Amino acid sequence: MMDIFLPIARMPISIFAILGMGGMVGLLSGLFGVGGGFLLTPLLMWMGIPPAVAVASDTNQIVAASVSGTIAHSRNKNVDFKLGFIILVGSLIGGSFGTALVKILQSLGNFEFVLKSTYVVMLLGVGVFMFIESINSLRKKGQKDLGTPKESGAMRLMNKLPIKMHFEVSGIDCSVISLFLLGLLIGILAALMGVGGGFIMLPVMIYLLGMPTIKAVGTSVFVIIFTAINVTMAQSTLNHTVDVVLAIVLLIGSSIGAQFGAKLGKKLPAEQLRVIFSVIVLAVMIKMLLSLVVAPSALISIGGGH
Amino acid sequence: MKRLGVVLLGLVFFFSLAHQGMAAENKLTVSPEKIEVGLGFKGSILNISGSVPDNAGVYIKVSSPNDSILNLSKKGKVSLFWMNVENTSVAKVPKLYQVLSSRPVSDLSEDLQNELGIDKNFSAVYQAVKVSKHSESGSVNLDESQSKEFISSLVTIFKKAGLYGLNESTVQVKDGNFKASLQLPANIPQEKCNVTVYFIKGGKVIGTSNESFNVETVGIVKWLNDQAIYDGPSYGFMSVMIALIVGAAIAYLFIFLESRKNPDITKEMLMNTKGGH
Repeated sequence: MMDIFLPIARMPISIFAILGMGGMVGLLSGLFGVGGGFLLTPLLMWMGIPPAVAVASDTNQIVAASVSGTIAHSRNKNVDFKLGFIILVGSLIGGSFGTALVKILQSLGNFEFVLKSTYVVMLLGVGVFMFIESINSLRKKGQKDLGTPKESGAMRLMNKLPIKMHFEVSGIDCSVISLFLLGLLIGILAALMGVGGGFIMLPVMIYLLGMPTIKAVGTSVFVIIFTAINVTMAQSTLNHTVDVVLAIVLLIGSSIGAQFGAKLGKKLPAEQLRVIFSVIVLAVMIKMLLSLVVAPSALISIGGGH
Repeated sequence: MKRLGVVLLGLVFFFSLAHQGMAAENKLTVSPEKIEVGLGFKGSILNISGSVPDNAGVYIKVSSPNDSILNLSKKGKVSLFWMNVENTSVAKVPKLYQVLSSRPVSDLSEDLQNELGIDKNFSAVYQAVKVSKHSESGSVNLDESQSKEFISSLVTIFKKAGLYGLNESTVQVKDGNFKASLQLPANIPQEKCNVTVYFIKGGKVIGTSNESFNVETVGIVKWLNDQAIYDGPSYGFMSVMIALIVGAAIAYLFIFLESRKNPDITKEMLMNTKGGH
């Protein structure tokens, strides 16, 4: 096995194992427009990489996977750059708010408990809703598939907000203010939960904005490029935990994986894509719940804390 | 004047001979003297050898300076869930602590074990380490009994990582010389580490020897380490640029490969890509 010594993690690791992991996560990124940190970070930690280095280096590779995914999706005209940009502005501002909010909540105590239980409930809600909705759509045979679920109450409410704009790529008319507010919400939640935002963004784009599933995936992956750049810079400056050697091996795998993911996404019907995504969301929820309920093998560990 | 010169020369000769004699008695060789940590580093074998005075037992301590500070967190049950309930800083920790011996450690009296820091429980580490708890009012030092749980967990973690260990009867003694090999793991601390050899006979230390070896990062590993620590923003910018370039290069490589497979759609695909941006 070919090993390489990681300068920041300070340990050797198999190049092929990391390439394989990166490839798998890139496939998910291209397929669903998510960063994939929820899966990769625990895998890296399982291989012995310190948690802080795993989280930071993972964010760095997400930059590459999402660039690769965005180019692949834009070839098929599935990236709504205009809409993505407005959400991005909101989510970057929301991210700063969220970071400040984390500090306030931490000083109140028991922050982790509130955070993790909210995360589990949110994943359960999103997963179950998407699963039922997409299974119902699959059952309705004979109906024309537009890849878009029907208009919800929230969508109608948002459409009443001012400064309307037409988004040609997504084929929707939407208020700029509502997009900005949604971006803000995504940014706050992502900072609070410590996740990239893909998990929240995709359901928001599909169900609240009414975007076709594949366009939502393409646009989500485009927004994630910038949130991942933002976090990589913050991690390098404040925590010094980005292992660029680990990230390079990971991102070669993930950029290739993202290409195959985008291709596969093009072939799969929108409802099937949503079913698979909801199953992954539910699996992450169960994993998180188990880590909270099952007694850990060792009560004391290195590098914990906030 | 001549006499004084002869006396001085004689003294110099005498002391140099005496010094050589002492050095020969406790001669200690540690190899390699410098361990270089590069991209291909997988750990290293440390060879220790020397002469044994008076058929004594050989006890070797290989340790790094106790200058590390580590953060430990403790999980506890909050209602139904397992959460981090306590965060502590553990200071004055040696990250490397390996003991090798030619005879069982239990041959030494408890007092001697404590004095030399050679025992099965690494009690020297417990004596040196300071544990403080993070609380809202700041850092609070834990007393000995409260600290014990954290130090014991740390010792277990380091033992599993191959950084701490007790290797009895691994020192070979033959014809008045000893030799031992120690496998150092890849996550060995990058600093100047010490090798101390105690020669023990009849329950008493009859001689000691000290030597050190350096663990240093070299080449790209050193450069990246320095950049990450001392110039975080530039390092972050470099990491982001690499990710952007590699991600885009791979995407365009796929476009190129597909266009070779199916030349008819080349034009359309490239137009779409440009249109998207």
